[in-house]
Amino acid sequence: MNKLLKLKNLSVGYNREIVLKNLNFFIEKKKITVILGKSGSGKSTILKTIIGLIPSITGEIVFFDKIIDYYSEKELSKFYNKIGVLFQNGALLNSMNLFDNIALPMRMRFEYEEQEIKERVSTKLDQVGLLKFAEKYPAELSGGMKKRGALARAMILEPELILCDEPSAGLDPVTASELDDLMKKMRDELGATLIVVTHELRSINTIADNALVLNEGKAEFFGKYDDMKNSNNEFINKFLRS
Amino acid sequence: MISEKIADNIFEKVREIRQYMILLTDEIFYLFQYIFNRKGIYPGEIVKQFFFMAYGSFPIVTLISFLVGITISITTIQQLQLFGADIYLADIVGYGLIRELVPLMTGIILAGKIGASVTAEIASMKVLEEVDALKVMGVIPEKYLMVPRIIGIIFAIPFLVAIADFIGILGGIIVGKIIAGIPVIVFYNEMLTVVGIEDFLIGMLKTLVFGLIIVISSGYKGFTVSMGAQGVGKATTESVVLSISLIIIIDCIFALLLY
Repeated sequence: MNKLLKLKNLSVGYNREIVLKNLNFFIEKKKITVILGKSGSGKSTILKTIIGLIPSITGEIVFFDKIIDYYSEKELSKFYNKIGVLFQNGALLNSMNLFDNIALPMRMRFEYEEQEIKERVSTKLDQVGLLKFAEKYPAELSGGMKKRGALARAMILEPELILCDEPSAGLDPVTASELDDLMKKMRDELGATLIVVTHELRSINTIADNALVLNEGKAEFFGKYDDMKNSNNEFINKFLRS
Repeated sequence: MISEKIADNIFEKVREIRQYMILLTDEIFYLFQYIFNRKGIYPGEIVKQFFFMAYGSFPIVTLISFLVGITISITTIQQLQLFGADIYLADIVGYGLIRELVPLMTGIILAGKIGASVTAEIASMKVLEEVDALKVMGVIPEKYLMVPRIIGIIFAIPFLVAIADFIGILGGIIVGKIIAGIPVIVFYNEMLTVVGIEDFLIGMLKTLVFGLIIVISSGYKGFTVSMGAQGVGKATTESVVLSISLIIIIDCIFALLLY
């Protein structure tokens, strides 16, 4: 089994409260791992810890068999070159249009020629179905468009790992389903590895290869999604029936 | 219990001062880093910030300077006329405006106009996770968002101060001419007997320091925002209060050192 990312004995806390307790799991390459659980169970905290926005109390995060040193700017920079993040509300910069938003990592991180930037951004916008909206500002886009635009930005440097925080939150079922299809397409056609935080069962049923179920900061289940569906665990059954 | 709360408040204030000083030193470092390697800032952002700060503040700074020039002249001339010393209006207006009132008024106007805007923008970006998104894209938000504003204000201030000095003195000249009948050339020549280029440069230096304080204070309040949309409003108000308080404290220090 190809493990891209491993979390070992991870505990995280803030405001004098432990939010994640001794978590152990891994992310398989070219699969979609879904992190699910009730609101406040620590799902988004895991993502924020992986990307270095929240420090862990104990434990380590291993990426490509190397422990990530979040205190080393150089190491963190290398790590950021290999990941893309879709934030809960898209987090597109309101001060620039969609094209410039997606081109931002290319312009800021590397010295690409403008022609290459134009080609690559256009390709990504086409993949997410937003090519004709390239000149629009985020305020002029719908919620679903913002999410798709943010996904295009997360994909622009062709990262090894894409982390999505509640991608379908606040979207209507049709748009949410389109976003799910887009994530599956990224896995199947581009070989991307995704971690998706969600509590929407319809979405989970569509995209999940593996699942981590959180209950009050502890891992209630980790494994294949099909195994989860057949689990006898009371919490999981309650969650799946809801 | 009360002593615990007092201690907590003291530690909190010390922590805030420490954070502010860290941001200040980081920004100085990022500014010089940018001057030498020209990386980490979005193309065109400095020019955009300069126009926002200079061109955007020009009308209000001009208007206020003109009105302050007129007001101070009217109140002064009445007293001077009692002693037949009308001509000294030129000295008071020139010296007072160039060394003290223009820097102070410009600083306070910019704290309200630019400071509030910088805090609101950065705080909103923080609340909407845009600052986090920048971090994960490998961009240093404290450099990307602040250095263009620092450079923008460094270039905007000489322009604003020069205009404000000229317009403020013009207000004095108009009052002198209308109320006391002082000819323009006499007013100008008298003013030059007490006001020199060093006074203009001191006023400029003071305003530059105020400008930097405004940008750093606004950035600090923006980056440390909490509690969502409600926090953005609170941070914006606090930023203006902090900037104006620091401007007045620093102005006082300048007065002690330079007079």
